[in-house]
Amino acid sequence: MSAVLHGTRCPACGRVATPPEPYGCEQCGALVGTLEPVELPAAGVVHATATVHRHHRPEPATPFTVVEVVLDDGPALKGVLVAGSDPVAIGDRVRGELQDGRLMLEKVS
Amino acid sequence: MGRNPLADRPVHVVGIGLHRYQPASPTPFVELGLTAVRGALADSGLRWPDVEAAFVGSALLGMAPGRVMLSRLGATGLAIQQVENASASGSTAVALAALEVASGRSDVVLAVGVDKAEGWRIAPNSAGLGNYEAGTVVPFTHFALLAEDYRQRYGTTAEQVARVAVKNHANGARNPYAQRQKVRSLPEVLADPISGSMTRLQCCPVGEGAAAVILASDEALARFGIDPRRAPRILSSVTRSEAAYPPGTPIDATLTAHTTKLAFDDAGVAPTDLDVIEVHDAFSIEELLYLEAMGFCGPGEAGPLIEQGAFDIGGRCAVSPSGGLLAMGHPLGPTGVGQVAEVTRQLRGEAGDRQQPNARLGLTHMVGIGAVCVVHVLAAST
Ligand SMILES: [Zn+2]
Repeated sequence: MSAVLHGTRCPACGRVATPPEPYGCEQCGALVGTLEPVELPAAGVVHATATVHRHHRPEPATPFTVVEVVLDDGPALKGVLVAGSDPVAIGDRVRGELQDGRLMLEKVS
Repeated sequence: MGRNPLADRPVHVVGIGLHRYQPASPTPFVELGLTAVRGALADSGLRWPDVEAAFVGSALLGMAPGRVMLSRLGATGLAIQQVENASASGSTAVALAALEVASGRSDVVLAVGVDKAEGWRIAPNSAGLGNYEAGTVVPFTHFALLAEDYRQRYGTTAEQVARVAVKNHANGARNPYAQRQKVRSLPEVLADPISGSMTRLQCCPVGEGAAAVILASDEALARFGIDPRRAPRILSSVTRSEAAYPPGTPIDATLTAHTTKLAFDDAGVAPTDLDVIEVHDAFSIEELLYLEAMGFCGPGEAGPLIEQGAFDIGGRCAVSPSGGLLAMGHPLGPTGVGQVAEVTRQLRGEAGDRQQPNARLGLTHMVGIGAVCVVHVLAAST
């Protein structure tokens, strides 16, 4: 399991965004047309985790674990640990893929 | 930022009033708001026609709640402006009211926050900016992630974080305007997990209510014979928003650090001078993060300090003596105005059994979705 996330990089200031920035650079205001498409491997290091016990929708079923990951290419994102993954802790390496628009992460052993 | 307008023309809080924060009910917002405004008028000794302008903070009521509500005090034709700034709507109403007085345009100005927890529409959700969360990350999980990061960084225990809620529930139990008025033990607070180490009693209740403050100039104090000892001064008022921080930056704490620094500089005070703080403690971990961000103590020191009682009423600095968002509640529009009402009560020495002894300097702090941050520094009259 591994995937590539689509994003944009600002040539003026270097800011990387994913999903692709649709309006203008959040750091320097560069016009959207100047932003360069980039592909970011969905892999990085766990910044924090939280096991969710109460959720306002039936899906995903509780408990599930939200993982904040800092991608190797910069941006910090939040995704959900796949069922069956080994537990993860801060500092662990994870990789992920998109399923129905959601970043599903698993521990890299 | 330019010069602090509140340094040029002093602005005082001369009246405070509240409607108890409570769970959603059929009570119309007009009833909630009028209760608070009438309370503030009675507290100040002013009459409604003395009020020249009103700023109405609400996030969920929709268009034009101000005039229909305030007209039932007698439609005097005063200036009325609606203020929406997410959780900081009430704080922003106070900020604009203070500027209205400082500018010299008006001498007596009302800021009122009123809201009902219904009809949520959150613009960032329809801004066309995607993410990969698909609805799995709500505010309590955002702060549960921050809590784990913080605890790992400094070795803070889940019990130390939960102490914030134990303290604030104890304070709320002594506040007749609080939504939650029950003392809670540490085991009670640690029970019923919601997300990560955040439990039900470490998350604020969002209900309804109202809070009002009346602000006035020196000229108004003299003209209406208001006792200056009951009229604390707003020394500074600062509003900022999230900048493009590097990835992984704790946004709310960084924004708080920047905003409070400007407010302290404008007021000419240091964080350690504070006697009373009303902080945006929507989730228990926030209180520790923000006390450190404000420079009240060093990184990682807030956990041990709260365990030692440093932030209790009677401690080094009373933090959220009202019960804070955790116990007094967070009905959005009223919250920031209610903070100013509580700090005013404390600086007057009128807070009864939740009075911080010798309270001379206070601060109010709200963070709203966006993120935005609003901070006021208030001082007792000398
Ligand atoms: Zn840029």
